[in-house]
Amino acid sequence: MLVHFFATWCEPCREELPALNRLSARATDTVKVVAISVAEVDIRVQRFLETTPVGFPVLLDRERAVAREWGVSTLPTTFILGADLQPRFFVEADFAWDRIDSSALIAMLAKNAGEIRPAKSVRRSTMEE
Amino acid sequence: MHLDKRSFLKAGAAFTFAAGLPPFALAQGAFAPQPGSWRSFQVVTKLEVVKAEGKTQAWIPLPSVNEKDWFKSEGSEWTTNGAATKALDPKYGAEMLHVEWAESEKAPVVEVISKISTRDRAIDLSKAGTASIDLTAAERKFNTAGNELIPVDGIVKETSDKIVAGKQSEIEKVHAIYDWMIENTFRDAKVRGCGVGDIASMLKTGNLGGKCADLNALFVGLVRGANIPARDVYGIRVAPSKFGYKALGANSEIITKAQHCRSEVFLKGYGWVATDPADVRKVVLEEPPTNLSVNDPKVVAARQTLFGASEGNWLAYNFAHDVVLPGSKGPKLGFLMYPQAECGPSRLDCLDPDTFKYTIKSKELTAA
Repeated sequence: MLVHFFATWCEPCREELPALNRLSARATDTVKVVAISVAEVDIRVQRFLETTPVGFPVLLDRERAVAREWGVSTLPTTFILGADLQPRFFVEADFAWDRIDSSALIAMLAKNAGEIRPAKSVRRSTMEE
Repeated sequence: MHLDKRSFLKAGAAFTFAAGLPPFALAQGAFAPQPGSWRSFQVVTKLEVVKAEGKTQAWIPLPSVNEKDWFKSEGSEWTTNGAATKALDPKYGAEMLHVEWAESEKAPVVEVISKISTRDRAIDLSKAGTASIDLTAAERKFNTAGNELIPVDGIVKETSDKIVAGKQSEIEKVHAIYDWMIENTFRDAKVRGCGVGDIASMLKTGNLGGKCADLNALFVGLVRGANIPARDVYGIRVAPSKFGYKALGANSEIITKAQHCRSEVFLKGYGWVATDPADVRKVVLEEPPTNLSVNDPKVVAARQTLFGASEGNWLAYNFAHDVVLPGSKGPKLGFLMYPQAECGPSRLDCLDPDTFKYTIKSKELTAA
């Protein structure tokens, strides 16, 4: 599962969301995405999604409470959770999700299955290998 | 994770060079606000909710600041087809007009007329401070504490400590932070990603560009991190600059988008001192012909003046943070500088003219 924090006023977020949507569509059986809009009025997010529709749930973190709980200080930030819903990796930047092989991602997460590890930050190059 | 680490301590050399440049000669004379005659203004805010659905409410900031040397809030009147009450933020004393409309009202409207008086302010920091005023312990604690937008611990404290290292006096420390702001708070195109809205995330991401509220919040946070009282003052420009700066004034009677946040620091022996590093950056970005060098004479003059002085062409609404809007189901506001409204359970987008229309106009009642 990918938990993706974003804001519609953040340019890299706006550019990244369609790629995340494409990943969600092509890996629909194996990768689930949840997006969380940080500190925005509802109607602005709704308007944005009318022009940039996505196929995954978009939640509203109006008071930044969830972002704070997850230690998010940069937008966009994406947490990659394993099948046990424990965070395995996070990316504190926009990311080229079109280049992700979802099978390879699942295999990478499966290597750590059953182990409890702190989430690691990843460079873009590591994720693309 | 890869973040572009920035060098946080660029200062000194550029400022030294700038000090050697000839003074900027404005047609209106030197950029030197001085306390003189008071100027009075009438500011009219008219708000309409275009697509009212469900119960509609609005909150309009009212001038609430009273500082005997430079600003007087002289009351507000209003007309509306809703029910209006004046509300007060209990922590900061920020006043706002809270208007509620019945669900049957399809064309909610309110017009507020506020009167203020203001004048230039200036303190000569080259002379020893002799004022006997001081803050109480409670006031000092209040104005050095953190809040949601402006934490003063962690990376904010670490950055402040680095900037003021080796500085002895309060003036030296604040000036070091002021200079650091001017040298470092610009939008770096190589830095991707945005902060989440508070100053710690600005520092963590290295994304130090932003509007006045972002930059002066960062300044206030860094000064508070050095245990020196500081505060933001949220307001709106009401007149052009008398000193010829296009970027530092409201250049028409319509001031709808002229909101501006200034800042102040409290220095022993001097009292509250005007400071505005955000406006120095605004001169860099917007003063014609725009994108000036930090060594441009216009910027150098603004930099010198806006540490200790400010022009009386601006209305001060309040000093408030973490504002709870009475009757609202929505989140707290980081600051109250714009009108706000909600239709049903949803807060309207105050930047969307299709649903939330307001105009603010300013008229001077007495000449300078």
